Amino acid sequence: MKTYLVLLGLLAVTMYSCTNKEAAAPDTGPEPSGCDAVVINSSDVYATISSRCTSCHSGPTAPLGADFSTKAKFVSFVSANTTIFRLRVLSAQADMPPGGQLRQSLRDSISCWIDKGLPE
Amino acid sequence: MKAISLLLISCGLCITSQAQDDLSTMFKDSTGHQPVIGTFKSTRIIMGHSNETLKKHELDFRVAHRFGDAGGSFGGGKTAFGLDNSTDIRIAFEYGITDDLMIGISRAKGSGDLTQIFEGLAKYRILKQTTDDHIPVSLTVFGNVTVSTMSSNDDATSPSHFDEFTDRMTYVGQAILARKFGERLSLTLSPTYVHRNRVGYMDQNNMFALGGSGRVKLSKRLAFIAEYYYPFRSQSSKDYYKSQGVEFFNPLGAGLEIETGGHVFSVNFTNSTAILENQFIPETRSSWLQGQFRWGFNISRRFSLFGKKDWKK
Repeated sequence: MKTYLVLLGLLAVTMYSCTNKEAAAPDTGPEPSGCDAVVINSSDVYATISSRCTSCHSGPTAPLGADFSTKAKFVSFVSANTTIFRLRVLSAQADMPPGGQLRQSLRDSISCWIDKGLPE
Repeated sequence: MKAISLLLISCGLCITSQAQDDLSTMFKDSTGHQPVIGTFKSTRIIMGHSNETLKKHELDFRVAHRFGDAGGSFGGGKTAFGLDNSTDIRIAFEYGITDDLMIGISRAKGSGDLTQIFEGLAKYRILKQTTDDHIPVSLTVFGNVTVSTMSSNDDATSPSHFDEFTDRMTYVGQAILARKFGERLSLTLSPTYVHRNRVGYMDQNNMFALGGSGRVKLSKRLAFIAEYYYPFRSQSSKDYYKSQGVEFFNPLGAGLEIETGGHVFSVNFTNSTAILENQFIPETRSSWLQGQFRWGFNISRRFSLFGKKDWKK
């Protein structure tokens, strides 16, 4: 009997420590500011991408299927995976490129390019 | 939840004594209703619990191991099909207080949002199937609490960011319905509830799952075992994580159970990387179809404590 009471007491203490917490939403990228004044097209963005990303993200073995070997493939990937691209390349906790995040002004510009609908 | 716990404290004293009286009357006529024994050979099947409990004063030392992906981009020959990596390791001591009640403590590496996990568990066998089908199924309840001792992540949006100690805790409650069909086949159905005190954005604190498992005896010492869990994750949560490049899969395992005297040795393949229910039910992100399954094993060694006086009774 004593054992069952001890276990019941432990169960009560355990249930008393239950909480329901959810982490805040991750930052999905900087809010674009002054995008209207920015003139940017996919060639400008791809110039950065080809210099920083295509050494890994190229060909059929590209991580996560993110093949940036041509401008068309890069635009197609961003169009289909905008959220994850913002999170991993443009956000405050971006982990790509692995050698270090793109500088803030570049990230802002690419974010504007996405907001404008990926203009050619 | 807090109200329920206070109710348990206030009601427990009277309920416990009555409940024990009621249960004991069910087995008074033991000569007419012989319990079915050996529905499973071990307290675990592959990933989850079976209906079996340890005998009184029996100590079970358990080691479980899950290796890395056998196939896919992290498997193949370069990692000896996963043998170079370990996704989770659990070492446990479990003890039978009575023939129907066992408790245990364990330490697991952890595989998922939380790592470096300590676990406390209790398991109680409520009903035993009888040979004459007076009671057609066995019913066992299992519960555990885990605490992660990992360092808190600085990023407040991470599920492993801990503001309070309780943020490190998770719980599982499970009912295991089991039936042995003849000498060769045993099946279980396990409604399961997983609660995690703190989760990531759009994840679920509370999750129900339904588990099912089976054991087919191949010879005196060898059996085929399989186990599957279906977690009821909300569609909005699935959609959000899919947009982040994360997909969840249902845990599925299959293997062989080998009994050698005091040892029960289970060799298995699972897609889940974690060993504890608290993780493999809500957080399995590997798929059998993408080669993300792994070899694993469970080893159990039982010791009888406090001499043999109980055996002589």
